[in-house]
Amino acid sequence: MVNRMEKTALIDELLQGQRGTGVQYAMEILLKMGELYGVRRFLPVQRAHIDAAAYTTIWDAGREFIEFLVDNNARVAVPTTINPISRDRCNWRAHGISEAFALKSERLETAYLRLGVIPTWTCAPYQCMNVPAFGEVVSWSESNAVNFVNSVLGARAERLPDLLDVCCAVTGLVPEYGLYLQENRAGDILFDLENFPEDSFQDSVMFALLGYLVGEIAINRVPVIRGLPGKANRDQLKALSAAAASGGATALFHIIGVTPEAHTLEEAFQGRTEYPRIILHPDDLLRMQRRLNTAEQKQVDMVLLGCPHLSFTELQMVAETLGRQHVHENTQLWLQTSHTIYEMARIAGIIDILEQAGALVIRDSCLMEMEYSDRWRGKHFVTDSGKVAQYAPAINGARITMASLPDCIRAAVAGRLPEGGTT
Amino acid sequence: MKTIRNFRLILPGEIDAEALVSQKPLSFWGGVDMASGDIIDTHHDLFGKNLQGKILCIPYDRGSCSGSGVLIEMVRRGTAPAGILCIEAEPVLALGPLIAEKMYGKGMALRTIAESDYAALQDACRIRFTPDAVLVLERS
Repeated sequence: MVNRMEKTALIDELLQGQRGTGVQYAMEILLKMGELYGVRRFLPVQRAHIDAAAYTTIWDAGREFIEFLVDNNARVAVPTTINPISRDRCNWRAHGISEAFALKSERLETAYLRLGVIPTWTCAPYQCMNVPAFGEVVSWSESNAVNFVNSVLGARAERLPDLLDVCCAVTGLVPEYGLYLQENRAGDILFDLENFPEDSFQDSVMFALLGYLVGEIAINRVPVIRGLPGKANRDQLKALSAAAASGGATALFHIIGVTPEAHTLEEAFQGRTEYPRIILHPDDLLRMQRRLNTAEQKQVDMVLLGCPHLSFTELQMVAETLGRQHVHENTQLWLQTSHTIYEMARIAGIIDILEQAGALVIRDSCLMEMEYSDRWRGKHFVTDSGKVAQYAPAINGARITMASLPDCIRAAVAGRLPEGGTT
Repeated sequence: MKTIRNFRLILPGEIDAEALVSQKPLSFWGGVDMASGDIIDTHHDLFGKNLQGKILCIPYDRGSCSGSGVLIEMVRRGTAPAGILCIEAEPVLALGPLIAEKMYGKGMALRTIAESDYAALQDACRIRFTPDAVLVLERS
């Protein structure tokens, strides 16, 4: 597959080092990747999101890479938001993080700040600060966020690997491949939902289970979902995005009548008529839930919400569900969000309610990105997140129960799973 | 011994190593411990195996974008596999070793083969990447 690559005057300028050797280095890497993947041209972008902010995702090698760029005068070329870091900068000591680890995280944070990123420190930049428009080509990373902006907003994003996202942000260019190309955005496989009651998709956990299952079957193909009862809000679609990118490698999905490139089946498949069709029944989601539920104990050690980061509305829902109840003394309730949303929730009086109830609100970080330790090994996590169900058993050694938000809160208050099981 | 001549070379490297074969996708982030090279994804059939110096055969990678960050650190530390063989090598798998080569002069081989050839790998115990083929030695 030999394609002639279109090289613009800008690319030549960057390669010759006219914007510094850091940007030159980034452009060289982009070009090499472009050659490997038969990319024909690079597209300019006006916004970017970087994934690799946590020390536990890129370690010292990644930090050395960012520092090399910064020390050689590279800066982000377009407004660039960034993912959660490995600690809550305001409260990391309370989360069991060591001094030595905090320093490692701080060094990476500093490198990124020098690179000029907007310190949003969130995996859901689309719920504050960075909301791409329909059809807009963006430089994007973080699997849930790529899936969300592609599928829910109809922007053009690819799952840029960590550090390639940085190369794109400092050059303002993305290689045109994969989902940047219209023909690759067509559906590949149809999922028909059958026999689901009208009120079955009320809670995010249902969307997470559906997402995980669809992702697992579709792997890296584009799934099209038909027959979703009712509409879906953005928090629910966020849950589906994250789970589908964790159960498989979904970076774009279509839901007929819900997502913007899928008004009809024909539109979602771009006119294609031949594709595999899978029928899903409520039992399939139940089986999925049983497979992800690895906990045998009833006692609950941790209720983990906010993967991806909680929206303002979700924090409101948690506060309303909690009311005047208190989290059980043997159980922790962690709520993960960004400092931006935290601050708005503080102004609205929500943080007070949550903290008085004994919840811990984590800013700018997430348990799975914090210092690795045996603290949570064998512990029982209750969550509504498919991404937590996939990764926390490996990263934290946790055992999982997937539950709806009301059941998560019940478990946090009672310190054990609700009688009669969770939904 | 099977000889697969139809392959695509993504990252160079002539290697000969023990094969670890799975039909399930794997994410390096949240799936592999970069310090030891152990596979820690409890949902994966290779859970508990060590990747260092091996040839890892997975059909695809899994969702996370952070695989490249973990792989660059593994190449730097010497815990990375010697090579990866898959059906589709998405950029998440190629970028880490590519940057590690540029920064530390150490890389990792990466090749892809057709789905039908991949399906026939299940009994592989040792694999060799030669300039013109992927040689598969099977369990007797």
